[in-house]
Amino acid sequence: MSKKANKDAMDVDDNTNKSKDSKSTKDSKEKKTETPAPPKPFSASDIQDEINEITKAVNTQNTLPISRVLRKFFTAERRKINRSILTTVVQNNFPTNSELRGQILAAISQLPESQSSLPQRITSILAAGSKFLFGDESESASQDKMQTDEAPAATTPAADSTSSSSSSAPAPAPAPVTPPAEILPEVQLYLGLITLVALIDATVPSTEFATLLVSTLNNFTRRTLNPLTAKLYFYYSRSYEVVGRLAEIRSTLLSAQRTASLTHDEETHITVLNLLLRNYLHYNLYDQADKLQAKTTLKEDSISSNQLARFRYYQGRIKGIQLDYSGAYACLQEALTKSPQGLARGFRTTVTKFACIVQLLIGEIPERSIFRMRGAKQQLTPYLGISQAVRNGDLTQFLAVVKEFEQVFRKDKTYILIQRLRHNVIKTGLRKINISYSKISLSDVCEKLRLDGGEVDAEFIVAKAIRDGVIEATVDHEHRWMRSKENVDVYVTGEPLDNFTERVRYCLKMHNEAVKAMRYNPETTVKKKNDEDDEEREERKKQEQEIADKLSEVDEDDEI
Amino acid sequence: MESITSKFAVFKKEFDSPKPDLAKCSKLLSDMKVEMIKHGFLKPGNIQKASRETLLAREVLEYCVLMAVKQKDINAFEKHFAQLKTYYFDTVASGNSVLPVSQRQYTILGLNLLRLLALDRIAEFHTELELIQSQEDNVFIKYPVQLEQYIMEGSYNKVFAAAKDVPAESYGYFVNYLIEKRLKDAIAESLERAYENLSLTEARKLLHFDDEQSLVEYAEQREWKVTQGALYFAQDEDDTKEGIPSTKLILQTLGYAKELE
Repeated sequence: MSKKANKDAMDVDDNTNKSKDSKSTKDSKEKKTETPAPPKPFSASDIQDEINEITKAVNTQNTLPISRVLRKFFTAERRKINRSILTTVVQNNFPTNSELRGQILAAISQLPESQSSLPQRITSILAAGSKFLFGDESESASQDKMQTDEAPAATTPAADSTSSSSSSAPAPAPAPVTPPAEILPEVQLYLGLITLVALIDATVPSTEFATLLVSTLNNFTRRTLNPLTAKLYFYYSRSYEVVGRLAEIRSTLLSAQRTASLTHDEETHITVLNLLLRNYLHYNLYDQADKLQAKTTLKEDSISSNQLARFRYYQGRIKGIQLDYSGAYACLQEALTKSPQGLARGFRTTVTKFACIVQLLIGEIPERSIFRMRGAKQQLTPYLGISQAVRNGDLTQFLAVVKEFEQVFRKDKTYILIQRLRHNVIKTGLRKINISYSKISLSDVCEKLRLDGGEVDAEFIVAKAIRDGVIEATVDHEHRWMRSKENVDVYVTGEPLDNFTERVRYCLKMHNEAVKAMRYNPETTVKKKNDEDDEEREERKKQEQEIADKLSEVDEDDEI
Repeated sequence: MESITSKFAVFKKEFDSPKPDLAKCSKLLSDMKVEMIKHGFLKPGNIQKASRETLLAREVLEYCVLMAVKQKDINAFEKHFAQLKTYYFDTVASGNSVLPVSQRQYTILGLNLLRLLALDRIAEFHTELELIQSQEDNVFIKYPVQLEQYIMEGSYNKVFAAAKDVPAESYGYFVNYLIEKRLKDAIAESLERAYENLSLTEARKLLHFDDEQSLVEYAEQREWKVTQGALYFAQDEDDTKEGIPSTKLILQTLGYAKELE
């Protein structure tokens, strides 16, 4: 980090004369490299800085800094927010006659007083055992961090120590600042948003406050509000979900989605779409969810991969219910690849569960390594049991596992899908028998599969399996046996070629997507432009002109 | 309002009697529906509140559904059921039903599941099943679910056994439909692929035909050869010598070249 800063300073030196400006930038850069050593305690001034950034961004009509501010808040500062900081900031920034100010202050007063309870709060949320799909958005893929309540288990001890150390020593109260005469809507909503997030984290029911913020939002139609809109709707839905009143906000979300798609606000559009799908799936309204996702068109390039991961997960679930297993599997795999690796453990666990079941329904056995996912081993144990039962083709084992973990499956909403697996168990069992025996009597088949229908049933089941193409055999009725056909050499047929083409196509798709997603690091390009002064720019232009002249002279010489 | 209630009472008496006069019943029903529309009963959007009108509307619709089954009219069933569905599912606000649960609710839900099964609309079957998730132990719902499982596994025997054991007589129509249209075809297909030949008596037993004549007709319909009291199924030869699929290869290679550029 320091090397890079020094190199930048030297570049600035080389390109320009030793003017005063370059010297000062060099100095400030060297100063900046020293500050990372002691971590500054978090205080209201940090939020004030962010507010200034937002104001600057609005004045330049640029949404990127706003997204950056949001990203910074959600990854670094969210756990350190507390009541006093919020109160100070709100008091300093809102004009005294603003209605929203009073409402925000009232909401802040609902936050619990003592800060030392923050780590306990977090652990109590973890202990409640519910899985959230919290998303913290970012536009560039390099800094994706989806935080769930399980993922930061490793980071909370670190955050706890800093937050408790920073807040137990009371921060020196900043000198009271007279609030300005007016306040930008972006700043209003930003402050409202962080208050809402603090309330939700403190498990304070905040549905009215959220509704209030959303109605305030609808009064403005400014493009710079777009990143804030997306976040706000997310937490609005979250506040309702925590109290279980999701059904009430469906119409609001629908109108929000319409507005977002009309104004080409892709981020809000996909966020609200995901919220709607989540809403429908919560109430098992698969039909409506399916129609919604079929009718909306998305520009897939401009949405963050976090939201896309969620969207694919919901799509995968809908397809799974509708028996489109291969489509569902593809969607769920894509959800896994798009989500941040190593973090977002709760999301990945849930997706893995569904992917495992869908894979079993297709007829493949999932690999053992997916059950060894870090931190999810305990949750995936029932699914490992199911996979083993299917692999063995043993119906009694399957039924035993299902019965043992019935409550878990019902909670995960995978119970219905697992019921459908019964057929797969029989299929796998039949396949194993087919491969191992060249001729086997039907009563033996019945016994091995432990079918309770008797021989007649076994005959029907075998016949149907043959028709489905599960096994290659013929049944001889008089002698009541099943004779397997000889295996055909696979390489003679065209199958390897198809398989190969599939894989090549997939690799090419990945390559193209990676190329499209490449972007220059926004900070270095912006910095370079900003560092230049008018003088420097003229210098540079003069130099470029000289080079261009020289080149044209050379050309003329060549032509002669 | 009063006229509808009185008509409804007359209708119910007629419908519940052992030999209902279907024509009269259907006429009464359509009269009632017209009156209800005139009074604005069936308008969507007012059903959140429990009221006599909503209850009455729901009952009338339920009887329309049952009527359609008696008349063996699948389209009418579907139409009325679609209207009835809102009464069942959308009146449930935050877990508690606004209207008292109807006795016939699960019968009708089960009937719908059975209808979807008979028409081979399995995706919709499962979607509907998701909505009724909480009541799996109800015998009316369990019946179609089990039937679906048997059909998927292929234990058609169990289906035939279950056909004798319907929980409500209105189910009988759909179950027979299911057997006639879908099961026989499914079994026949399996037989074609699995057996090389089959004696007539055995085939008759497996396909559950009542007599040989209908079996022979069926066989002719499916183009099986009938000789000397045995059925011969046509076996498809698997051709391992297909020839090189040249067009496909050319297209693929061109695709690769384009990507690499």
